[in-house]
Amino acid sequence: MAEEARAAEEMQLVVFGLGREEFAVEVTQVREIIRMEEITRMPKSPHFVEGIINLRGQIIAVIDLAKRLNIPSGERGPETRIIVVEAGEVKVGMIVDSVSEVLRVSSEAVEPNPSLASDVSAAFLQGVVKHDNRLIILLDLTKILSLEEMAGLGF
Amino acid sequence: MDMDVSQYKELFINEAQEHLEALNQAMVELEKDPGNPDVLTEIFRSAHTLKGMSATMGFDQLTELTHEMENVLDGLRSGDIEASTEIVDLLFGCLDLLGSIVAAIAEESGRTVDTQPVIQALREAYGGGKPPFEVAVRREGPVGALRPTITRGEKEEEGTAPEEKKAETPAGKEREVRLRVTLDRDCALKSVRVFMVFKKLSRVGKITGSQPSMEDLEDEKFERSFDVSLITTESEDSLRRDLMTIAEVSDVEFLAVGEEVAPVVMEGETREGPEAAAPGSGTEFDRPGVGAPVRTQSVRVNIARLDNLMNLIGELVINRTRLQEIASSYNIPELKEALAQTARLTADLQDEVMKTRMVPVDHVFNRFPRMVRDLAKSRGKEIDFTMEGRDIELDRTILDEISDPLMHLLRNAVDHGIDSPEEREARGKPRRGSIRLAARRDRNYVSIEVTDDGQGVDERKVYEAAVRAGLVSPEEKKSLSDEELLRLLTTPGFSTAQEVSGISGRGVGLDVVRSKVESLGGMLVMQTSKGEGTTFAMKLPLTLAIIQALLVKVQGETYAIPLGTVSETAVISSHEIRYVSNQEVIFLRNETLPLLRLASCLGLPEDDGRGTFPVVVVEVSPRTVAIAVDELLGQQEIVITSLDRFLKGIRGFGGATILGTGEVALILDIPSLIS
Amino acid sequence: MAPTVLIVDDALFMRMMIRDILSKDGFEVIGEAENGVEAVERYKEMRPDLVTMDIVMPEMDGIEAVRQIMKIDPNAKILMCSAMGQQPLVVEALEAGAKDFIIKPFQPSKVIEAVEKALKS
Repeated sequence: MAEEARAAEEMQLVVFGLGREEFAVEVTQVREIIRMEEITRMPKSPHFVEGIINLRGQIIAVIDLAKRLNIPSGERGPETRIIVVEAGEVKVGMIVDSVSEVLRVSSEAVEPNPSLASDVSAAFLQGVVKHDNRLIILLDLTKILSLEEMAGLGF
Repeated sequence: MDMDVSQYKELFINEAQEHLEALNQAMVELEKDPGNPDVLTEIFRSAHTLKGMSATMGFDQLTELTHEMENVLDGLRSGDIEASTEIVDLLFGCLDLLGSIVAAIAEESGRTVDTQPVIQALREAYGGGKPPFEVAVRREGPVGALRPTITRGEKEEEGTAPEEKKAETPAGKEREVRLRVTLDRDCALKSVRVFMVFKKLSRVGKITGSQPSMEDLEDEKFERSFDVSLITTESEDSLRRDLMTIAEVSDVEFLAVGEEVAPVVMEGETREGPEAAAPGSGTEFDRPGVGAPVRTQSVRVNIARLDNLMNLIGELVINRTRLQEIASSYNIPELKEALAQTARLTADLQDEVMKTRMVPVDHVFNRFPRMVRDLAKSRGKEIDFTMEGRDIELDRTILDEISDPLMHLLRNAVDHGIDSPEEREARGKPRRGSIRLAARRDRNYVSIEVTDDGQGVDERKVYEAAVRAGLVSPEEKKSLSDEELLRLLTTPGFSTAQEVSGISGRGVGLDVVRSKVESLGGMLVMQTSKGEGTTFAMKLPLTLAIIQALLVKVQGETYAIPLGTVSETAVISSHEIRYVSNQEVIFLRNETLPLLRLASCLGLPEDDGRGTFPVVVVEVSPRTVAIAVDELLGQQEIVITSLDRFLKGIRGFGGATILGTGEVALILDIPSLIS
Repeated sequence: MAPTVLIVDDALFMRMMIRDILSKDGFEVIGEAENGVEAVERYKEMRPDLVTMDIVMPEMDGIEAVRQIMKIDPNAKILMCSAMGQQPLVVEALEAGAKDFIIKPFQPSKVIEAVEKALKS
C-alpha cells in the first residue's frame, strides 16, 4: 500500500518541444512515438486536423498540435515526431517539433493554476511543471481531444 | 485467505449484464402475466445467480440489493406479496440500480450509487425489518430437516445396510462412545455441518445424546465444538476417519464416557428416505468416458479480439493484392499459381471470420420490451409489444450501429404511431395498440421492421408541412406515394409533430435513421395506411467490411467510391457542360445529369482549366448525378476500416481503407456528400 | 493420475472461477455443464471422480441432478455449491446423496479442502 501511494505521487512525463515552448503529456496516455510519415488529407475537417495515417492496420487521425493550441510551430524536419496518445475513447497522433525526454517529477511539482503566462489558452493546460529552471507546460489531453470542443469548431 | 478476483471482472460484468437484460425481459413478462410461476422462477433464478456471483467478487452493494430483491420475489412466489404496479415498478427500479452499479464497476470510475432508498423500499415491501440472510430463503430451517433424518438414520442402521458401510469394519463390541467434533473457525452454515455429522454417525450407531442440546445445535448456539454420544461397534479410528471426510470438520476427539450429554429428543414424524440413500444395486459401470474428456463446444471471445482478427485479415487481403501487383510485373507461372491459391485461402478465412462476427439480433432486441413498456407508461398508452426473429444473425458491427436508429423507430411508434386509448376507442379499435419488432432473413439481406397499428402517417399534414417548408410547391400533385412521404419525412429538420414530445418528434431524427442505414449499405423503406398503421423496415447487408470500390484521384489524393452506387463512368470535355438554373449539367444517353465536382464537394480547390475529365455517374435514389474527378484509377476490392470517434462527426465518409501501397484512402459516402 | 472433475453452474463466471481454483491445485477439469440436464448427460459420458454442483439452475436444478446422478452411479461424489441462506436446499441435496457443500463466495482453500475430503470419503 505504502509503495503504491509513493508511486502515485511520482509522475512520468513525455517532454516535447513545440514552437518556442516546452510541453509535456503524461506517459500513461502515450501509446507510441513515430517519425513523420505520409499523411492522407482529411477534407471537411477542422483546420488543425492534418489527416489520417495507417497505424498498423488501424486508421487514426493526426492533428497539428501547434494549430490546435493556436501557437506558432517550428519547421518540419528530421526531428519532427508524431506522438500517438490515447485519451478516453480516442486515439490520435499529434505532430510536435521534437521529443526530448521522459521526465520523472513529483506530482507536487505540478502547479495546477499557473498564473505564469503561456501562449496557450488556459483551457488546455493541466498545469505547469518547474524543473531545473525550465518551465514545462503539462497539457490536458481530454480537453485537447474533446469532442465537445470539436463540435464548437464546426464539426 | 481471499483470492484475487480482479481477473474475472470482465467476465463478471458481461455475465451480470446478461442477467440484468434477462431480468428486465422477464419482468416485462411478469407485468403482463403476474401469476405466471415459470416467469417468477426464472426471475428468481437470475437474481439468485447474480447474488452468488456478486458475493464471490466481493461487490457488497450488488449482493445486498439482490438479496433484498430475492426476498420480495420470494414473497411474490409464495403469494404473500401481490404483483401490483408499485411492486413491479419497485423491482424495475431495483434492476436499474443494479445496472448502474454494474456500469460503475465497469467504468472503474469509483462512482458511488446510493442503494439505501431502494433497499428500504424492498424491505418495506416484504414486511421490513426482518434480519437479512434469514427471511426469504429459509422456507424450512435445518431444524425441520435434521430431526427426521436422524430418525431415518436409525432405521437404516437396522435394516437396509447403506452401501457406504465399510465391509472390513471389524465387528467390535457394542459400547457407548462420546466424541467431540470441532469445526473450522470460519465455518459457514454450522447447523448443516451438525446435520452431516449426525447423518454419518447415525449410519454406524445409535445417537443417544448431544451437548449442547439438539435444539441449540440447530440454532447454531455453540462456538466451534459440540459433543455427541453414540452406541456403536465401530472403532474410534474408523469413526474419526469417517467424520474427518466432512469439510470444515477440523478435529474429532474422544471423551471419557460419563460426562453429561443431553438426550436426543426424537420426533415421531418420519419422512420417506430419498431415493439416493437407497442402497445401490452394486452394478459396476465401465467408464468409457474417462481419459477422453469432452471439451466445451464454444468459447467466449472478446469483441476487440474479433475486430483485431478482422483487421488483420483485411491487412492480409491488402497484402495479397500488393503481391499480385508485384507478380504481374514478373511473369512467373509458379508465383501466380501460388498467389491464386493464397487468394482462395484468404477468401475462405475471411468468410469464416465474418461468420464468427455474426450475432443474434436479440443482443440488441432484448432491451426493447422494457424500453417500450416504460415509454408507453409515461405516455399514457396501452401497448402490446411483440418481437419476432430474435435468433436471426447479423454482423455485430452492423447490429451495434442500428441499435440507436431502431430505438428511435420504436420511440416514434410509441409517441406518434400508436394513438391514445381514447382515440383508439373512438375509432372503433381495441384500446391496446400493438407494436411488432421483427427480423427477417432474405437471401442477401436482413430486414428489421417496426410495425404499429396506429393512425398511420397523415399524408395531408406531411404535404402541408412540406409546402410550408418550401420543399414542395403548392402546384405539385397532392397525392404522395409512400416513397415520397418517406423522403419528405427524412429531410433534415422536417417535422409534422403537432406537439413535439420530449423524446422524438415525428420526422425529427428520421433523417438520421435513414442516413445511418444507408451508410451501412442498407435501405430504409416505409409503408403506411391511414388509420391502420405504419411499418418502417431497415434492409441491411448481412456482413460488412469488404466491398468493391472504384478508386479515383482528386487533388493528388486517392478516394474510394463504393461500386454499389456507381452506374457508369465516362469522359467528358468541358465544352459539353451546360447550365440549367445555374447548375452545371451534362447530357449522357439522352439524360440530363447534374454535374458535381468532387473537389468542391470536399471543399478542396479545383483546377477547371482542363479540356477533358472523367465523371463517375452515381445513382443515389431518387437522384442520378455525375461526379467529376481528376483521374479514374480502377476498380478494386477494399477493406473498410471505420473511422474512430474523433473523426466520426465529419460527414461524407464511410470509413477509410488501406491500399496495396499502404497509402490510406478515404471511402466516400456519396449520399451524404451530395445531399 | 489427477482426479477428474465436472463443474456444473449456470454462470460461466462461476465455472471459470472454480476451474481456476481446481486446476491450480492439480485437478483435471474434464467438463462443464450449465444446467442439471447437461450435468446428468455429461456425467454419463465422462464419469468424473467428482462433480461440483450449483443448486439453483435452469432446466433442472442441482438437487434433482444429484438424484439422477446417484441413480446412475450410487458412488458418485458430488459437492454442492451454495449461496448463503440456502440451508434447507443444502440439506435436501445432502439427503439426495451429495457428499458435501461449499459456500459462495468461494475461498480457494475451503474449496480444495472440501474436494479432497469428498474424494477420500
